[in-house]
Amino acid sequence: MARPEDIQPILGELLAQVTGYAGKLRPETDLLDELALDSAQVMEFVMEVEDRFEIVIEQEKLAEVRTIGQLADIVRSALK
Amino acid sequence: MKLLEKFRDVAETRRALGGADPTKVVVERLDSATRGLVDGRPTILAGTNNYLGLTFDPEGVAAGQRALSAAGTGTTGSRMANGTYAGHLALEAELADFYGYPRAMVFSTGYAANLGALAALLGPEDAVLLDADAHASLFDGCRMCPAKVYTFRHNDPDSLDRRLARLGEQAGRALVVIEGLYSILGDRAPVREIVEVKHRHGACLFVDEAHSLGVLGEQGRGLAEEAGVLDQVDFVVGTFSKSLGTTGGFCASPHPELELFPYVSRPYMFTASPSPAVVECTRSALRILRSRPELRARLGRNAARLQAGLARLGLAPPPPQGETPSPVTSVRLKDRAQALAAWQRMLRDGVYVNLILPPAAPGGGSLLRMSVSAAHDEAEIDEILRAIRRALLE
Repeated sequence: MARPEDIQPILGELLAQVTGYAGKLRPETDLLDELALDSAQVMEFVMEVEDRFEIVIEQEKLAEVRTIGQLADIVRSALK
Repeated sequence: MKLLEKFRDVAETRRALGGADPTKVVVERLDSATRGLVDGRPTILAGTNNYLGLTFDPEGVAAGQRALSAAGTGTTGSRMANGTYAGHLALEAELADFYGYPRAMVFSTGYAANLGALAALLGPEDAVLLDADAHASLFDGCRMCPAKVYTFRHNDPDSLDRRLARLGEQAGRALVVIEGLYSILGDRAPVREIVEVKHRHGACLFVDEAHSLGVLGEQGRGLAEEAGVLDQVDFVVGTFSKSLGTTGGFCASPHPELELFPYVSRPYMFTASPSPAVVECTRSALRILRSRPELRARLGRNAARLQAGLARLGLAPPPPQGETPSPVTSVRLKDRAQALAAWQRMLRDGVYVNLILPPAAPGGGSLLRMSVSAAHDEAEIDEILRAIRRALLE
């Protein structure tokens, strides 16, 4: 089972690919307030995440996601 | 008051627009389907989705006036109570006949049609796969339902296929939701390929033909008809507020269960039915849509003229060869400031187009969206082009 610390570097790589963001990510990095992603960018990022991990993520779960750590938790849960 | 603090961001966003708030445009007078007085200036309307130009059609206006006199201003009730008139049933029968389906269902708005049809269809055991660029009404309809909601990449059948595969057995209870023509860029869904994918997984397909009804297909039934797959679509929804020039919406389906939707669709149950005048104007517009294919042909010529002109200016690709051009064309701009300035300049020059700002534009960014009508003449299309050239290239 993938751990959040395994998943987070991949999320960083995908985020850079989608948004060009190259800064360091922490679990508490806020996608909306800190990285200022708009809803379209978040959706594109999440679809990249889904394809990389071969999972699907419910929109309802995404609505609660603010941070990289929370997204990593959802990915981990979907990989179970 | 804490309750109202959330509006600070909204107020700030509005302040940033300065005097150029695109939601504050006032049409003070309408002279025709394509011209009006906007903010005190005679203006060509190039962002109204009035594709067939039927809003002033004499037959429709007369039908509405007769209904107003005969049946009054409104129904004052739900279709499930006192709000079903003979006209509603006639319109539903005519829509069903148009699509060759056993039944159609009329809603009070296009937004309500999407909410109401999705609310009826989707239960807690179901899944819905939604194109990422789908209209807000489709997202809202899906969010209202207890089903699990997923998105796939815009117009990407492979992305849909992969996600359905990941759902496993649940794919057999999945609804795929797409539009015919997408509202902002006017691009077509690859509906044939999407039909193949849905068959492969045993899913159902829901197509919103809001922008393609009256525009595409030999009989104007939309993209699914143009692509030759209308008989393989499970649910067609659409609006009356574009090609038909009124308000309201519908869902049509080959499945007899559509007859049961009214009993489980809250957006259908708990709202007043369309007014008699709106119903009769819509019936008239549908008759015209079916009997005057030349309107569709003229719309196609106007769209081709606009797109060819934009291509000559280097602002858009040339119109497609061998297919009906979309009546919607957008020009992507470098940033919000350029889009705002260009939109304001066009309005000052007497041309109204739609300003699309982030995050509304697919793929982000800002753009100017234009839609042509069969009622535009060539001189008006050329004036739209001159205005956009002045706004962006001079």
